[in-house]
Amino acid sequence: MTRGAKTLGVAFPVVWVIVTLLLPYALLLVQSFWRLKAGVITHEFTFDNYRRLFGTPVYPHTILYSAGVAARVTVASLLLAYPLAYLLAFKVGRHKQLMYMAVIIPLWVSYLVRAYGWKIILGTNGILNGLLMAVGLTHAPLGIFLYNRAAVVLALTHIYTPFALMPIYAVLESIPASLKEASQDLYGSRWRTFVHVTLPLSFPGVMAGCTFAFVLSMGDFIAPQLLGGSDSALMVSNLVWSLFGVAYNWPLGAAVSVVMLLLTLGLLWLASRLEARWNYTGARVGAPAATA
Amino acid sequence: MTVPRLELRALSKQFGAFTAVDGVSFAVERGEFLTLLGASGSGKTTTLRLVAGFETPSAGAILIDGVDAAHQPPFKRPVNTVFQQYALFPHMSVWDNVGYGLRMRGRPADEIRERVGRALEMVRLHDLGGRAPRQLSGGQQQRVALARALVNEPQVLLLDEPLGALDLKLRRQMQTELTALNRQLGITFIYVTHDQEEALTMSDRIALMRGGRIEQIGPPRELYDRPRSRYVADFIGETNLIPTGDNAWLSVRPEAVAIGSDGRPGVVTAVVYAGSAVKTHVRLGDGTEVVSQQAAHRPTATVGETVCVRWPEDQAVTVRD
Repeated sequence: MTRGAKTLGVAFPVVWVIVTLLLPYALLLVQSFWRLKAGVITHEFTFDNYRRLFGTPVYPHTILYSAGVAARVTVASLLLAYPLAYLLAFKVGRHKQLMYMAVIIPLWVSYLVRAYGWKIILGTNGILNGLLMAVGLTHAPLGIFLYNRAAVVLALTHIYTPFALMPIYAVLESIPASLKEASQDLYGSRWRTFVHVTLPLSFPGVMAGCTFAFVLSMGDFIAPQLLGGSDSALMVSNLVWSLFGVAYNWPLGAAVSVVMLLLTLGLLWLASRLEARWNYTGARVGAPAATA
Repeated sequence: MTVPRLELRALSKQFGAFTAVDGVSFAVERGEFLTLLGASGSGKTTTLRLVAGFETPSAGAILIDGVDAAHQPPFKRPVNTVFQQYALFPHMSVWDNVGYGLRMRGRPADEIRERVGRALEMVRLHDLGGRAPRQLSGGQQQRVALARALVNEPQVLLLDEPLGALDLKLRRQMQTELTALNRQLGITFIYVTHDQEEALTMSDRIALMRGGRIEQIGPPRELYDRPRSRYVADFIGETNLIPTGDNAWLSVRPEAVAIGSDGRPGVVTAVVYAGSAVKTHVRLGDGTEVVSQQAAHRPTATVGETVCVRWPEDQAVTVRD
């Protein structure tokens, strides 16, 4: 390769990252320090947006509520993804690749289709109500399934479980079979081998999977919009969306975004530190890239 | 008559259409050092894994002190394994690695402390108990693996090419240590290797495997001096195979071949100096090449010279395929 081509090969990604990632973040940061005066954004430096953010209960409350939803999604995804990853890694034998694809393929289906699918299942004219009425458990459609936090958690769990599964699968795959054999050779039953060897060695993957599920669902705004009903206004991304939209308060929206970004980066940093500490098998599970 | 420590009866293992172990039978006594020797794919490692319980046999029996263990899971068998790449638990200290088996068996804490301490002393690592395995050298990791297995005082210790990853000098040293431990502890050792020299120096008996079967089993001397087949003669040490027709060969060790003025005539094709010995390659009239190995201080022939080779009758063994 010529020197010029090499320079271009390095320069292009650098420029790309600057233009599409760093520059928008910088603009966001600057925006968050500007003042909104009588509905007009003025280029005056102020901390007012942050003061208002932390001084008005609704904003911290929304962030906490979103974290609560994300935590529920994380736990549910982990409970689904770990056993599934374990089965894929150790129990399905020669159909492994096929089964793995079966788990991953739903990711190729449009996000909207998957979120909307839950509307069709949980709605008053939905499949679940139809089923309940068909078996005679209820006589009229129930409106309790849709438009609440549980529906949002359910849909987000469905959408983000594959993201939790991939790093867990990767780390389970990387555990040498001889370690499990050594444990069994040393009088460890299958269960105790799992508890004392497989589980601790899979922590980095669990950590990465949890980070994926938490960060992605915390930043989600479509599922809460479609399935969350009146609660939907309370997910932080919906808040940002409305601040930049109908409320026309870009500086405050930017301030909320900056706080979210910092929280997310802090979380990613913590997760990558823990992953590195627990990583004994050399698996490359990696902290997920910031998507906030 | 006493019951052998370990006895395999017509043990077989199939992986799909491939037969890895094909009707292997032998008995091992208490404290004996038996080596399973063979090329890769000969079934030696599979045999070991069957005894350990990592594979289930397709047929046959594995008797440990007369009790069939063939279908017991590995964690119920009174055998322990030293793995090829050591397989130390990376998330545990050296101390916790060695104590793992005792903990799994629910031994009391002070007994574990005492036995782990003794095991680490036995392999001269008592100062390194707090280290993580990755902080140790290959030779030290090897010793931890050994202590981790021996601390359980197994009936049979299984060793799967345990010295394969060590350099030559360390290998030699560990070979001596392993044979000493075998004598000292009286534990039966089943040792898998593809290194015939290692097998010759360490074993009470060698079982040479080929294609899933035992080609010959016996003391090292017997396999070296009285090989039962051409394969054994060729695999154990170096040998000259002189065709005698009818699919039979005379196997003569190079050190038994003398060069002089009477015997079978041939032309010297190469003289190879190897420190303490000199190897002289002689091509006989029918094209067979014969190697003679003699002490280096003896006068040597020169390439191109016509010489005669001979060997004592009792040093030549007729072998077949």
